[in-house]
Amino acid sequence: MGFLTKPAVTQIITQNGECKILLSIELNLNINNDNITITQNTDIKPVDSLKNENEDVGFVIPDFSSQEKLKFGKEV
Amino acid sequence: MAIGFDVGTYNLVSCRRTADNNFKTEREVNSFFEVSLEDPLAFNAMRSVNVPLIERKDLGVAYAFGEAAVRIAYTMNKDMKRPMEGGCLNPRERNAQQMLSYMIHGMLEGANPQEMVYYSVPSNAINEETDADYHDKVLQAIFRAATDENGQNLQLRANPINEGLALIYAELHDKALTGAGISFGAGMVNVCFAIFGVPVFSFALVNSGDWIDKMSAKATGETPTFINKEKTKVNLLENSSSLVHRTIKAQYEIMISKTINGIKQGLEKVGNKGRTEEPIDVVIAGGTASAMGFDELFAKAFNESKIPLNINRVVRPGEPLYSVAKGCLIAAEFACRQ
Repeated sequence: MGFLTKPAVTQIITQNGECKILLSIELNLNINNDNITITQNTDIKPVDSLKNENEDVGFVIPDFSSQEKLKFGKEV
Repeated sequence: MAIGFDVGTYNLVSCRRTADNNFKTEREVNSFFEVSLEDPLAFNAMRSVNVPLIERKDLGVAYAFGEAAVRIAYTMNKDMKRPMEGGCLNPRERNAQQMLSYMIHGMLEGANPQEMVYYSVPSNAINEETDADYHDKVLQAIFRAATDENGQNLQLRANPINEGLALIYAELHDKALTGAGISFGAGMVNVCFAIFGVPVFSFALVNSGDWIDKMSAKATGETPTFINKEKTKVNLLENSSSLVHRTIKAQYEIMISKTINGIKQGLEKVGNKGRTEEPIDVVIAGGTASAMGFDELFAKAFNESKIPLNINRVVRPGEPLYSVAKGCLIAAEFACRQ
């Protein structure tokens, strides 16, 4: 008789337009018994879907406050 | 009060009103070079003749700016560096943004707190990859970081305006701000077609003054600096016996042809939105348009191109170098009105 020793963990990863599903199931199988029965823990963990990092690229703008002053510009 | 500011590849131009409502314009060359502080002779000589300088002892260098710096760099055989290239920030110049910031802040001296400022920006080019949005964001940050003589932030109300549109504001007020504005700068040609001051379409081409210098130099074996000087002597309506002048004229014709093709494509894209009942005026300005015979050459090419647009006349402002800044000022003044 087999027992699910840990709740199944499912991860769905979406990246670059592809979807990858990782399914991890841990079973305990009793091989002494001709009738193999697999049971599963009814507590199923919620699916973790990994969100991509924010792909928005912000503008990198330096700080232009400065102590140095320039006398610049000629009247035309 | 308001300020108009043309942030050009070669020239920085600011424009304000005088007390008697005339235009007060200031200009400088958008250029700098680096001087090592290990050479105090050069540094002190420049300081004694009032070359605009910023000393950075922490870096062991000083920076010299503007037209005076250009003249000294030429005699000292130093390379001038330019914060902008092709109409936008120069990605190959690592100090570009900071140097441009020093120069713009220097020309904002005397600005009032919360003053309205309109500065020129290009469109994205249709013949090369440019990032006009990033360029605009950097300029906005520069203007908003401006301080008074006590180091207090002026909180300037800084806004962008398309360079071609600025020309329409400057020169077509009596035409209900309807027409085309074409700025032939050093780095870019900027085109805007507007109806009642609202842009219908705009675009840019990275084929302007610097490109003419480079291509003519390549064809004739001369340097771009030499070509740049010769451009002031060439007459675009004459068939010169000089190879250099003929080459320069040919490059001008190519630039005008590309510009007119761009306008044709723009009009096709906007369809009925670009239709006007009355013939329109076309304003042409910018340093590259200052060559002798340019407006006649342009008008001739335009009329022969069969563009679906009726042209009333081609307008060249009395001071084509300063017209964009003037248009920026007028736009800023409109924005100030309640």
